[in-house]
Parts: sequence; structure tokens; C-alpha cells
Amino acid sequence: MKINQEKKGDVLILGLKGRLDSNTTGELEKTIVPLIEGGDHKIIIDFSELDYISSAGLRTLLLAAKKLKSVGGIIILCSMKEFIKEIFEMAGFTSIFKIVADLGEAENEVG
Amino acid sequence: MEIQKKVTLVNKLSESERLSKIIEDFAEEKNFSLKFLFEIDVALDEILTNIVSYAYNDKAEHKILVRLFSLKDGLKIQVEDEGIAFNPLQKAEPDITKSVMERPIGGLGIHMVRKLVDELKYKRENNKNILTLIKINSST
Repeated sequence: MKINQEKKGDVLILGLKGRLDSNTTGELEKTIVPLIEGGDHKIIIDFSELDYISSAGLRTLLLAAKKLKSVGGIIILCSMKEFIKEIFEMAGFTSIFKIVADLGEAENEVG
Repeated sequence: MEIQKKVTLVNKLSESERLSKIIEDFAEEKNFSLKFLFEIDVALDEILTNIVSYAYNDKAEHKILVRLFSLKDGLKIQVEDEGIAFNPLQKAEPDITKSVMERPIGGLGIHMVRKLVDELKYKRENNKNILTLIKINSST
């Protein structure tokens, strides 16, 4: 998996590429946790190049959402492929994450 | 006649991705939908991740045997490991309606498997866990 980082003002955009599974979710955790603890509290995760996700991937996203919630931050997910969104639905994650169609919409949401 | 393939994996997380490619090749002529293959991949990934993470008390290499059976309208897959006894069918369902702060980290793997396959069977035999899953390729 590759994680692209881009900062636009106070918004951090993380672009995930490849597979977010038990083998790679640790990489995301090691990237995102220090960023949140370092003060990045508005985060967009761009799923446009993510091809695969399992519950191990969801785990790290939930961890990030919890950390952000506790500091009054925000996390928005965007550009999710249909079958990945289905995994979010099965896990009941569509009710705890804001998921929008594309990056433009995510940037509007995060304000 | 049923077509069958036997795959031997070891207890490493990276084996899920390898198995996914083997299944893709195995099922090639069946023309299953991408959604079907993706759902099978996730279900097996969850099962293998559980085995690799929790089935062994040592750090040694262990074999995990996977048998693939081609059905008329789907796949039957049997996963056999020599780890500690674990019946995923007895695992309590997580409450997926809780809010962000109330939801526990983890514990979703088996829930996903249940959602992703049509049939799930477990037996313990000769000190082995044998999990059988059946997934039907629906036309939707």
C-alpha cells in the first residue's frame, strides 16, 4: 500500500493506494496516529486508488476517528469504489463515517 | 464433476493476497463477477488473518490447508488449520449500531465473513479446525 500526503491549508489529505488489509493496516496506523497527535485534526481520506479493504483496515480508520473525535477533529472519506463501500455498510461504518462522492465535496465538507 | 484444487499456505498475513490470485486463476473460466471474487477474497482474508493472529501459541511456521471446489453456481472453500480450537459460529455478533466512541476496536472479522458468504460450517476433527464456506454467484 502507498499513502500519499498532501496538506491544503489546515486540511490533511491522505490518498490510499493498493490494499488496506491486515498486512498493511499497520502502515496507515503508523502514519495517521502521529499526524493526529501532531495537530492534524481535519483529515480527508481519498479512497480513489484503493482497491481492497478488510476489517483490519476498518480497524485503523475507526481508531483514527476515535482519536479525532476526542480532540474535536473531523474525518471525511471520499471517492470510494462501490465494493469497498459495501464493506463499510456491512460493518455498520456508513453511520459513523461521513462518506462523500469526491475530493471536491470532501473539501467543502471539511470547511 | 466437481473441480478441485488444494493449496498449502503458511501462517503469514501476506498469504491472503497470494490465495486471492490462486482463486482468481482457479475460477477463471467460471466468469464470476468481480463483486463475487472480491467478497470471497475478503471472507478468506478475514479467516486467514484470524488464524495467523490467534490460532498458535508459538512463533513457529504452521501449514494452513485450503481446498477449493468449483460448484455449478459458486465456490466451496475449506480451510483447515492445526491451531487451537476456535468455532467462529459461536462468536457473538458485534453491535454495529453503536456510535464512534462506543464501538470497540476490532472484532469485526467474523461478522464480515458471515455477511459475505452464503453458508458457513465448522468442525473440529483430529485436532484441526475445519471451516467450510460456500458462496453462490448471484446474478445481481
